[in-house]
Amino acid sequence: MIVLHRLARLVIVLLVVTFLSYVMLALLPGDPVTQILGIGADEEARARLRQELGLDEPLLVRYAGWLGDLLTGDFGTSPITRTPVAGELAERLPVTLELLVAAQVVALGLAVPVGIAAARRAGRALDQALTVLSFALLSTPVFVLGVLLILLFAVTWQVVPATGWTPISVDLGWNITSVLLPAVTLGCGQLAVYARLLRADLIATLQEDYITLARARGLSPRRILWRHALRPSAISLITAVGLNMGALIGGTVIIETLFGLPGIGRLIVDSIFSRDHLTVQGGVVLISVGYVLVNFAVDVVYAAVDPRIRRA
Amino acid sequence: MRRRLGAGFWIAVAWIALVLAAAVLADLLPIARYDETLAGPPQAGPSAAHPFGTDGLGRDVLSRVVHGARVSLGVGIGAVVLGLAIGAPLGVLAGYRRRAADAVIMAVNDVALAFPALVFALAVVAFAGASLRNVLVVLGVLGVPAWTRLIRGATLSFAEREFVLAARVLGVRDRRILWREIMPNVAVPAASYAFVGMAVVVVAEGSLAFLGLSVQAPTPTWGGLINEGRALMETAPHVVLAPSVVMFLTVLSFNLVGDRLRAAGDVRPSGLEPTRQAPAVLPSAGPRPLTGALLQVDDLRTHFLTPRGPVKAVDGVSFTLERGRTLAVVGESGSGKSMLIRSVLGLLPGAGVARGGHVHLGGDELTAFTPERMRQVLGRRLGAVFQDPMTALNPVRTIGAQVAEPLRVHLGMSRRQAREEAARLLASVGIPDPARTLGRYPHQLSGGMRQRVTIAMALSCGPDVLFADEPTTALDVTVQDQVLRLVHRLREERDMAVVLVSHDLSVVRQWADEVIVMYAGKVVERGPAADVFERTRMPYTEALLQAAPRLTDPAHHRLRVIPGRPPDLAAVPDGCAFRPRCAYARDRCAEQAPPLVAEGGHLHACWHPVGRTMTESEGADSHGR
Amino acid sequence: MAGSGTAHLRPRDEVLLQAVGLVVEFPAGRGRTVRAVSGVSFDLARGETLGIVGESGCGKSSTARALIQLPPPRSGSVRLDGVELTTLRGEALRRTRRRLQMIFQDPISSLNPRRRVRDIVAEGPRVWGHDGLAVDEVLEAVGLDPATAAERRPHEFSGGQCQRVSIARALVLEPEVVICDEPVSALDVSVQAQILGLLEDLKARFGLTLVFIAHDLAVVKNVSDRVLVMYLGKTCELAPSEELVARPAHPYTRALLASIPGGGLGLPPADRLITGEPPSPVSPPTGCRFRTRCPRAAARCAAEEPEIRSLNGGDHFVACHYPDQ
Repeated sequence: MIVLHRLARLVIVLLVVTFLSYVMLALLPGDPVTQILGIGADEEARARLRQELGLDEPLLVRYAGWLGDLLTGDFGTSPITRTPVAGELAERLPVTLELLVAAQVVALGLAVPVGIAAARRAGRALDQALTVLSFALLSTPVFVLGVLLILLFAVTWQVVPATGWTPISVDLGWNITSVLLPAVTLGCGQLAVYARLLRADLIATLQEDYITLARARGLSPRRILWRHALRPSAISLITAVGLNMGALIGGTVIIETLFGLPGIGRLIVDSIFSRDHLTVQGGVVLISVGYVLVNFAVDVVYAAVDPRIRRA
Repeated sequence: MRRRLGAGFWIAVAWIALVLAAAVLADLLPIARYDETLAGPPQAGPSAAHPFGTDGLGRDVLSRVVHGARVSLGVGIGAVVLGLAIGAPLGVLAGYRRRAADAVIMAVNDVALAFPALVFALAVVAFAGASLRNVLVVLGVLGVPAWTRLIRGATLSFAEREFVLAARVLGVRDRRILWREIMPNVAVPAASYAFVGMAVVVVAEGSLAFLGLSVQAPTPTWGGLINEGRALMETAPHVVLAPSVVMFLTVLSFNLVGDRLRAAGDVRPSGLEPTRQAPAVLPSAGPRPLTGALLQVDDLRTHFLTPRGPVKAVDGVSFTLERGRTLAVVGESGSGKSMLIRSVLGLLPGAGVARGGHVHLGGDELTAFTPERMRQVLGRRLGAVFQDPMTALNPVRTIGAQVAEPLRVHLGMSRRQAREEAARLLASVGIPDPARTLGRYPHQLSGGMRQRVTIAMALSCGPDVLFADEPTTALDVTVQDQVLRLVHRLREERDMAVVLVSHDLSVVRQWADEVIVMYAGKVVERGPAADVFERTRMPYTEALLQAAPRLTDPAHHRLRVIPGRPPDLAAVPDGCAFRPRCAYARDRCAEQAPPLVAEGGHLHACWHPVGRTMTESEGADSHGR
Repeated sequence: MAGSGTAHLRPRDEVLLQAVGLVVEFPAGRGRTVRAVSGVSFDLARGETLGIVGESGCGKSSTARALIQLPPPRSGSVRLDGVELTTLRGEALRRTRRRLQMIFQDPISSLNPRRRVRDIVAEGPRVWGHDGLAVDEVLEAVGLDPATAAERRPHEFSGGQCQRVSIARALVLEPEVVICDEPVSALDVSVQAQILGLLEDLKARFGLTLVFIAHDLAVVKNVSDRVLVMYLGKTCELAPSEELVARPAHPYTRALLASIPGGGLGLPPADRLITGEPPSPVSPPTGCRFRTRCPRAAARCAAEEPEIRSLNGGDHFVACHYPDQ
């Protein structure tokens, strides 16, 4: 029931997002025709190309046609590169996905122990040090952090390559080496956000009556932390993981450019520069679908963690 | 509410002011022009003439960073103002008007969240032209959903408050309510978000510039400088480091100012943070000789060390308790009655607390126990129930898991045994259908049922003493009666002792065998319930009894008024703490604190005890049930 | 119980405030509604204090809010001095507000933390163009020293003092009726006695008519001339306060009295052993709503809702098929 409701909502959100992005991209100045033919082309050639690309039809008709094709998995063929957009996206999706997953693993994998350590020693030296550190990470733009990490690890110490990508299919070891620095760069900002959230929520939870009562029942601090405090404190963290996907995806655009990774973000940036509306539009759809699906999954996890909202 | 903002805040403000001033006055500063090539040797490191060095074309990096600040801060401030100008009215509307306006605005917000904002900013700036105005407008508009959501949340939290309702009852018009009642409260969080928002926008602008999609060359931008500097990373790292560090410090400052403002505007007290440090020990005399009582408490003291001086929450409390008896602790809020229980149980926060005195349970000195040994006592020999059944159970665990836990941990039962025993326990506290209740969550039970569950948990390992801290205050009167009856029945069945903390004298009168009256952390009267209620000696107890309305009094009966209010525990008056409110106080009360003196089993701390016997028609049959 | 009916209402021209058949509903999610109040009627003569007592969820606070039209009741009528309030809208409704004031339960939450006491109390006169009592005079009347208190903000005061400020804010407009919604529930016993005494003094001094809502029957009895007992949104019993405590007729009133420690004297044990908890107001029982917990419930109670009727031909009214005579 709730799931159906959410799914319906999800479809509506995606419809609105695709429509708005389609219209806005179409209305923006910058014309693929000019991009293909160059500025000096004559009117007749331009008109012919417009017709060929279907640009002479009304906007709504074009959107409907594009959406119809989209439902069959056809993202259209880019007029600039003359290749199917779907194929292009499919080729680059694994890179971005691997980067995103690796970044989340880095962020969550470090944030949970850091948050717990800070909360357990709230107000003391370790907590203060971790607070300062996470504040600093939070305030470092990804491209600044990326540049610094490259400077240190790739240029000065030369332990990892500065740029480039090795797919898993080619060599696992090299793949991990090539994703390591980008993932750490991307994950660090989130790490700070997650650790601060978990710390604050854990501190609040540890002051709840039911924690005091658990202590009054003679349970060990370790048991209280893991069995009683962690789950109710994880709720904001889970929400943040979903909502911050947006920021993370934005970050991939920068990271992929900075580290020269052949992912979706890079593709979108390149397509923007080449006025390839169709590819940009395809990328936007992919990202929105990803965002909405992740948040749908987060809602499901959320309900598993907090029984109170299961039938809300 | 006005809390210290801290040195970090002022340093951050100073940095922002410095960068802002430099940006505004960039053309007047005695530095090279940002586009002047070969102002110095190319790729030269920092020197007196060029504090940040020079770049590949010999341009002064300091000058370029300062001019870059114009774009960064300009976009940062401009976009936040724009976002706020659009988002704040929408948020206030959604939060205050609710219903349709709220639904529409929040639905639009949902969609906006699914938009890949940075990608969109890229596209718009790329296609519409990379000018300062376009960047500012795009980043400002993209911030609107976040602003709407934040302002709506803040508005909502205040629009629900009773002072807004009170204003409407006064006949205040909506517009005035918004301006006078809601806006001042929303302004503080909004200011905090504004600074955090500037940090976000500065980073976003930097990202655009880094990709070459912000204000175009030759105008320098921070993101652009970092991008350019990348090429020289191996030969002249200062070219990329200088703008990076300046940008980092600026973003950090914005974040810090926002964070401090939020903390300062937080009306809620920060509370004691849990630590695992052991409390400091106050010097105290050795324990009295053991009386052989089940529970013996001697000179128990708990002091909180605050900047205003020690707060003596519990100040020299002694009592003994036998099996099968109920001891009630009575007092108003702040009298230290709840803290007394937590002190006996050793459940005090560690930092900033000093405790002293001795607690003996069946001959064992609990106050000398290590935390590990104390855990063997808690739950097994001492059980506890707190006031609010809504917060006493873990919301995300089933009743079964929670009730069975002490059985498994302390008694080493198997999962199945523990489950069966838990069902038996729930049945014994009067929960219908215990087997089904085991699988339910706390929010699915009513308050009365939850309190029964917490009682079952406290009793699961058969404790010798049950501590009940205002166990029925949060419950309705008919349910309160059921729960108190239950506690009494279980005490009889299990031959336990009960310590009942309550502010309600009629509850205490009905259920207690012995009574302790507390005032300002001290025991002011103690004795058998009949003595305390019918042969009251302490003027405070007398006043309290006469201040509480009773059904037997006629309607419009004037209650005894105790003037003033309980003392601030950090500044308890000299002599008798009750003196400023006492009708019988004389000079001596101000000079010397009265000791607790005994008349048989009835103790009181007063220089001028009241002597007359109170006539109580209903007092006579108030116990023995 | 818990019934409807208007047999207990006095002629309209003798009373200052009359509420007839109040119904208050709230959305309960998933398209359902909760009837917090369903068909409650009562009236107040000028200078009278009516106590409303009941457990949480009985609808007593919703009744109070329906009286001041925040929000207006779903149906029913509220007449103040002959003027029907439920049909008033906008400016006309706003103009009647000053005649009907309210004091809330939570003394902290009912004062704006960012305003000074003087501004809080002066808000009413400011909105109404400075006709009303002087702020200093009212502050003094509620026992606050204007010289020291007026320039402070609420967080500098204790709960009892905040409640005094709330009372001052209500009184400064010289209202005719003041609705007190659990005004002493959050206060300590000693402070509670101060506020109750203060309300009695102010009632005499300013000629107020009071509606006093509380869950504590002893407190309600202390201040009220007549007491209305509510259960799950319905009326159980209405009687002068002495009469209600001395001769409770409705099984719920009897249970309520018996549950108060030391209050159940002289009542037979059957009345004392009320079990269970109130059912959910989303799906109340048929017939009499108290029947699921009532020691006297019979078949008729499930089938037929009891009407309010006079017990003694006088001023003691009860809605029960089998009241204690």
